[in-house]
Amino acid sequence: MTSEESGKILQFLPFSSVISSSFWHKLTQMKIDVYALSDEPVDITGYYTNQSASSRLPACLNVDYSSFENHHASVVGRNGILCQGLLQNTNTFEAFKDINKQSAINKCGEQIWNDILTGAALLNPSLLTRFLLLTFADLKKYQFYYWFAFPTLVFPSKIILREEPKELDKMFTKEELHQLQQAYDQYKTTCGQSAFVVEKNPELGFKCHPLKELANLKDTTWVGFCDPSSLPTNPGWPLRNLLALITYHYKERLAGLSVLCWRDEVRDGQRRIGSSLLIEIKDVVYPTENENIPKCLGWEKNERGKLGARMVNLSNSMDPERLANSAVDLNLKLMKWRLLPELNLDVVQNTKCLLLGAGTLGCYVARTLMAWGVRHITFIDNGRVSYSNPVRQSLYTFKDCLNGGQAKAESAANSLREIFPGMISRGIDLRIPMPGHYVTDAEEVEKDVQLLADAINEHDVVFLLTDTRESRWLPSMLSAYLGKLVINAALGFDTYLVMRHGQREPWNPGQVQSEKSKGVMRGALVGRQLGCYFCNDVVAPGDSTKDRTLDQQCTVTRPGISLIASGLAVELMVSVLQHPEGGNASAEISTAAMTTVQQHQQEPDNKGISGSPLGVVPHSIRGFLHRHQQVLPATEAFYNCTACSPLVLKRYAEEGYAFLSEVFNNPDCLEQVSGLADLHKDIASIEDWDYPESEESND
Amino acid sequence: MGNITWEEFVVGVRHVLAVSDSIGDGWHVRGSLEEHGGGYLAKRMDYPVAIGEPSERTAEDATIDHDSVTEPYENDPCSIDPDSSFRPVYGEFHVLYSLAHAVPTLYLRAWRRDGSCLEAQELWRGLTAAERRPSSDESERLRSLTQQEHPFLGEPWYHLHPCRTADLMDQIAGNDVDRVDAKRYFIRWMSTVAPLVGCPVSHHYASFR
Repeated sequence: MTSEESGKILQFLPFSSVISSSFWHKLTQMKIDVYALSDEPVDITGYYTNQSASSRLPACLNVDYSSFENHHASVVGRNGILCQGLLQNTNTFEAFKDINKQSAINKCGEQIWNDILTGAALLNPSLLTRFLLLTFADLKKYQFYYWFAFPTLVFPSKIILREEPKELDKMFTKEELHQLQQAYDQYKTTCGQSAFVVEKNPELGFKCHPLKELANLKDTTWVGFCDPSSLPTNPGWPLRNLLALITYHYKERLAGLSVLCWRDEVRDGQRRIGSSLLIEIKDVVYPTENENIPKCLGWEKNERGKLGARMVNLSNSMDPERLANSAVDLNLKLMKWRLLPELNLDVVQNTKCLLLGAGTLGCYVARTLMAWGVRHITFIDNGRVSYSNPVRQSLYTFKDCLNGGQAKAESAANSLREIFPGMISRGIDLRIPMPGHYVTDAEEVEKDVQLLADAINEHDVVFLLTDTRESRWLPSMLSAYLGKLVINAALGFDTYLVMRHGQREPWNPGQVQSEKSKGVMRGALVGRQLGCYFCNDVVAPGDSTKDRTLDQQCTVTRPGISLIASGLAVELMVSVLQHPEGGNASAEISTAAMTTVQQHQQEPDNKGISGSPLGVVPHSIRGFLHRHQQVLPATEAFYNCTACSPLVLKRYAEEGYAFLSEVFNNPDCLEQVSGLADLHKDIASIEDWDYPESEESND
Repeated sequence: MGNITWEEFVVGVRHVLAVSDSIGDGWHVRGSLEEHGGGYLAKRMDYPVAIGEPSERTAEDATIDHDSVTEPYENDPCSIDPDSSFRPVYGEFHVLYSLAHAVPTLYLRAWRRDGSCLEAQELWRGLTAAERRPSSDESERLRSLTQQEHPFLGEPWYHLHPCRTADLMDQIAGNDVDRVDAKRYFIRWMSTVAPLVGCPVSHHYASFR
């Protein structure tokens, strides 16, 4: 014990485990394809290097995908030192916990001790640096529990140093270091082992030999090893078992033995070995108990500094649903990063969309919304999928038509989640009550109205995509009442209309919602001044067979039209959302607005472009496929509108369902309420307003 | 000249391998260069960087203490504890040939000690030193890291999207009217792109014998 007082005890820096993410991917694959339910230990490899640059860095023992392969050596690189490891992957967390850790590490210790006794480790010192890895892979949650051990024999139990370890830099000249480096390189190319003996001959300089030569060398000799530590005073873990080997075979050489902790760093083409340490052993202390095999320790401490396992959650990089989520987001971010830095993707992603109608338009609109990153989509429809649907309606397949057909709303909602599990989609099987459709079961209809009103209230944007005109009245009115943004798409045979309704604050009796037009206005109309789908009509919605507007002829359309209109509808919504004014974004009423989008973009100081990074935010888009032409009319809200006028909203606010019931049974009452009836008396005829192509659009 | 063929790519790769072998910075080939599009250049991050925040935690604690373990020396007097405040991040760089764009493409991935991966934002923050952070528009666009399944490994990696590489290489070539050989192209590309993501390229690569 006196020696202990006069010298310093050598302390070793344990390995710190470093697991490459590819290791977990490979382990998952092996578990599924090879190990299955087997929890027998299997051989793997790991590696460490002796080229650490910063003294803050731990001594890393790395495992990666090549740990499972034989050709690991090619991957560890110039300064990589391979280590043998044993992997035991358990099937349950309980089994992971229940493994007797002490006997597991003792078993490994026995193996090392045996290699020391037989001299095998003298010929191949890498047998001394082994590791154990216990894992439990919870592949449902992508959680991995693991615990490393770096077994080391407590033999001798203490090493007493003569003095503080010294760096080579401070002891040798540049020339001497260079010569040592050459000697090492020569040894490495011929022998390649991680532990060696350095002979220092006064005349011939340094020469490196295999470890077993220690017995034959009488000159000043050092024992060298590749040191993963970069601490200025502490060697790395591999030295511990190496000293056990030397103690067993060359006990007499221990006192006064110098150990070279070889650190070999390359940075920017400059090789540095000067931070290698030289340690001189003064004495050793042997274990007090007399046992056949020295004690073994080396379980790695966890992040709390205690002996214990660790867990890592890899759902971010392994869970396919999360991967899909981030891939979708990243794809959209490309647009932001590359083209439109001012694009606000969050506002799009967080928008809740209600799609009224799950037919051709509904399916394409939903798909385009998904492509924009919208996650929350609800369908309302009361139809069933029929045999003619799947070819045009992109969310259905043949099997949805069987057995009378699936309910469309529900089927479309399910389909969205199948396409992308990140979707929050819902289907509501509901028939939208309509003016002129006589109410037979008043209670049922009142419930439907409430369901629809609740649905509109819960969403941010309402898409009107039904196939009749009168089915759009109630949602138009309710959306105006609740102050929601409405996007409307309607198709003719080869024509389409896509528009946004003027968006105002939710109905508030104290506030003036809209005024009578003061006549022709110059310049842009702001969003709240814009009309709705019904503002341009001078008759109340009713029996659709009488109507002849382009969107009502029937559902016989050129198939490409619905894709075009759906695409435009979603793009219009996104343009509105990107506009700083949102639903109040201005639309133009000047003739310039009736040109093509391309012409618009060519005008650099066009007012419409200034607001939204995506360009003009039109009020409506009318397209004519037979001429491949598109116009962007903007119209003011009509004071006598049957859907959005304050007169109608006020009446609904006051009377609620009683008013609606009246409308459903007798649509003419709408004309009375809105004042249209009076207007009819005043004006004999009204000319069509904003429809420059009307002469050519034959019915 | 913005594009290169696979054969030219291989010439570039072999140049990197030759130089790397002499300076020891760890570039090596995986797969086979003999096969068209069959191999790629790989390198581990030289030195782990200390940018890692603790990996994402689930509700339960990620570490499990085993009181049952009775090691002979719970407090081993002959070992010192590693500095646990230091949270290094490790990474790997791969250079693949993009068949679609006919340009080299840089793939990378970085992970914490436990194997959990860094997200794109963390990668940028951590790997790009402030002075290396690109300021021009072109470099800004170049920065877009996108997640992409690694064509050889089938795991999600990040890559610098190759769609603008050809333009970039044209711009770098500038007034250089002579046809730039494959080695020069490769090194120009690497020394422009790799440092952006924390992969330094030694000046030794610029000497072409």
